[in-house]
Amino acid sequence: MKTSRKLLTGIATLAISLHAHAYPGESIVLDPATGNYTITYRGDSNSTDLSQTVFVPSTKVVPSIRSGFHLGEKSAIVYRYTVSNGTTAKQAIVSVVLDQIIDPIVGELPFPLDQNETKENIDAYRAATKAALSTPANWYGSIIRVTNEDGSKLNRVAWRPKPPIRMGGIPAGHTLTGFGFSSVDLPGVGPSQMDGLGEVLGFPDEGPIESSAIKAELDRIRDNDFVTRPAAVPTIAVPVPFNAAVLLERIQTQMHTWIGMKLLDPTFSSQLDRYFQSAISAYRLNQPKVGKKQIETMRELIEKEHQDLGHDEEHDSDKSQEKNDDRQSALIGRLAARVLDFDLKYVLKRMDDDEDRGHKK
Amino acid sequence: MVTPTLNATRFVQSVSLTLALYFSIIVILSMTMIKPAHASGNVFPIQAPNNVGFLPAYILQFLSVSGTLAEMQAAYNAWLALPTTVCRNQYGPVNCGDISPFSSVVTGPFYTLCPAGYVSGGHDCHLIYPISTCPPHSTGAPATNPTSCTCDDPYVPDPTHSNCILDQYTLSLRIVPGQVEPGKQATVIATVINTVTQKPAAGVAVSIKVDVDAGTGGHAHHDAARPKGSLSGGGSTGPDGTVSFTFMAPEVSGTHTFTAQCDSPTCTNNPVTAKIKVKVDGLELITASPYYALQDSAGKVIGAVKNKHSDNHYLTNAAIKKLKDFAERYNGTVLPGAKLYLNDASLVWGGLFDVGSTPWKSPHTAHDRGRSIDIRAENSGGQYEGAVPFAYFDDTIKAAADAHARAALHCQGSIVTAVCLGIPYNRHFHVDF
Ligand SMILES: [Zn+2]
Ligand SMILES: [Zn+2]
Repeated sequence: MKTSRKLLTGIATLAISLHAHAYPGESIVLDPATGNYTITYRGDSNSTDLSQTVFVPSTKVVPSIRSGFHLGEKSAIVYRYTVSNGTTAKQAIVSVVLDQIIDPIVGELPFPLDQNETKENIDAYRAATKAALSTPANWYGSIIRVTNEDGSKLNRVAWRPKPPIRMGGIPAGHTLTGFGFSSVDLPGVGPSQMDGLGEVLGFPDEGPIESSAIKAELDRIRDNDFVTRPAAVPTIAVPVPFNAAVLLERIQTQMHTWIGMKLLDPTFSSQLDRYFQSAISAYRLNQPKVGKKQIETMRELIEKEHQDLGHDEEHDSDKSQEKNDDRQSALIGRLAARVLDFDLKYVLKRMDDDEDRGHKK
Repeated sequence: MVTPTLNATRFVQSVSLTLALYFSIIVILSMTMIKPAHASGNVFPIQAPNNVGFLPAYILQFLSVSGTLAEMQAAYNAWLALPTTVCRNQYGPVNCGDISPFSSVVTGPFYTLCPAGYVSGGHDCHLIYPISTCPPHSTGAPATNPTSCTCDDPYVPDPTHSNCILDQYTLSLRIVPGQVEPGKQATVIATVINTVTQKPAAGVAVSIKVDVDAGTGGHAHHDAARPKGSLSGGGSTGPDGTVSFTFMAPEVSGTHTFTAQCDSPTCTNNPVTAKIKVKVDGLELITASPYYALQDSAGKVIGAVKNKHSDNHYLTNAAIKKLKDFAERYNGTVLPGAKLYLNDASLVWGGLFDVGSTPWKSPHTAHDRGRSIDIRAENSGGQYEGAVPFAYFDDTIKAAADAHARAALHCQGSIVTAVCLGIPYNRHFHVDF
């Protein structure tokens, strides 16, 4: 029984990448008992001999992440994260990664490349990264901006325990706070990635043949060797000079991505869209009072789904996440609701500030 | 038509014949002078410089004519105007004007009358006939003094219809695309043109072979076993004068030379060669950086093997950037101050990197596209300078993962299957970007 289930898993995994060359006898079999993959592959293109190795994934963690964000100095938004590992986790959490942070965070310097690889530049870069990131003790943070071969870009902030990694991390049942940074971009909701520490993957040869289906499938598994949870990440650029209509459009675009993440009900989204449209039109027509009214109505609708949204932002209470989980709305997730409410409130605040400045003149 | 009025009626017929001859000469000569719409197998007869023959004097009668003089004069002038007209009499060359049938116009109304086929020379009659021959490899009609010549099979007229020549073909080669990645296909198009007609030649059998140039593609070593790729298709040219071959490039990069020839009929420029680069485009040399080491402390390039592969540090631009990001974190945080020691990446043109003991064969399949590199890792046996210590294997793999690179241990030759951690031999990190 167990064998046939394993076999089926292997077949199912391989079927995904049939466009590559499938050699006889190759398989990736996930053992449901251990959660490990046994990889059987041809290690030498000149021979039909099969090799085998075991891939122990880094996904045996049960992470949860709580995002805190509030308006700090100089219009920058302070982002704070607290990460917990569930009691059933088999591995300690050894990374907190936030992707899609496209714009530089406050204090970030560009990675020294080519002619800029001087000791001064590298030292300055490292010092700037250290200063720009809030990092818990015995962890280190890094900012990674690379372009993949296919042109896709990787814009991430990542934290890991200081080496040796095997001695650190967030064990099962533990919580670690103190991750964070500042950004002038408003929060959206994006996936945060957390991984555990699997075993070092090794092959008794040069590994699977490059063009093989098994390599493609193994790559896919390895590229996704983490667990994702939604988190608030700076994704919405604030227009300079400030433009409420343009910013509302960006917030609305970000909001639409939540439907696919199952954080927002499509019907509720459509309902909000109407207010977005009215508010955008109003600001375009220079009717800030009308715009403000629409935004306030939206905030009331959101507040109806989740109470005390502002409380979460201002006080990074460790308990609020658990408290929030008890009050899940079917229409909008609490994190999404907090983000949207914060972003809308930000628009109002900027408009009020502008108005104040106007009066002073 | 000229109709002279004769005072002796018995000569009427002869005069008409003479005039008919004038015109027939004119017609034949103009046929050969103006470029005609020739039948494809015809060539022009070769005209001798002296194309007017000579007949001894032959005066038959003096006659008087009237009324038709202008017409006769016109016909005669036309004959005189022929550029090839050269006149002789029994004493040698004469001025054609001297044999004018009207020479006696000055002295009286008498004209020399000659028999059919002869031209009056005032006091002589001259036979005018073209002295012509056919060019080699052609047959004339009529056999003597031919007025047309037809090329003998298999000869054909040259473009000016002056000579009969054998058909001539030239071969050219075109490769699409002009450069190909290892293991991919290109099309070699052979085109045969009939140089005589300047038109595509169909039905020409073309053969082709391929060889690889020594010392190319980053392989300093060379032997007969080096893969050359394969050619398929071919045969004879089609109506458009082309025949295509499919070239399957080998996994080993390098410059390949095609040598083609027309087998039947042959081409004047046999054989023809063309080259193609089997190459992964866009690979860049990993240049020195504080983040990693390309040479050991003795100044030896890591992984380079003299007279075999000395250019072993090529990657794509994107891979180099990711490598730097990964190495910076190793150097800055994983093991502060330490550098990753970079072993084999890809060869200058990518393709199969035959690092093993058997040339042109390698399990090192992953090093062919500039997206992989090997990095020294601690072994339980002999140690390499700069190898990543065993205690930091996890950290190194995670640092790579953060840069969206995949690092794993490769233990070529290891007899232990358990992830190289048993009794590893030749253990190194293999990183895919
Ligand atoms: Zn070689
Ligand atoms: Zn390798």
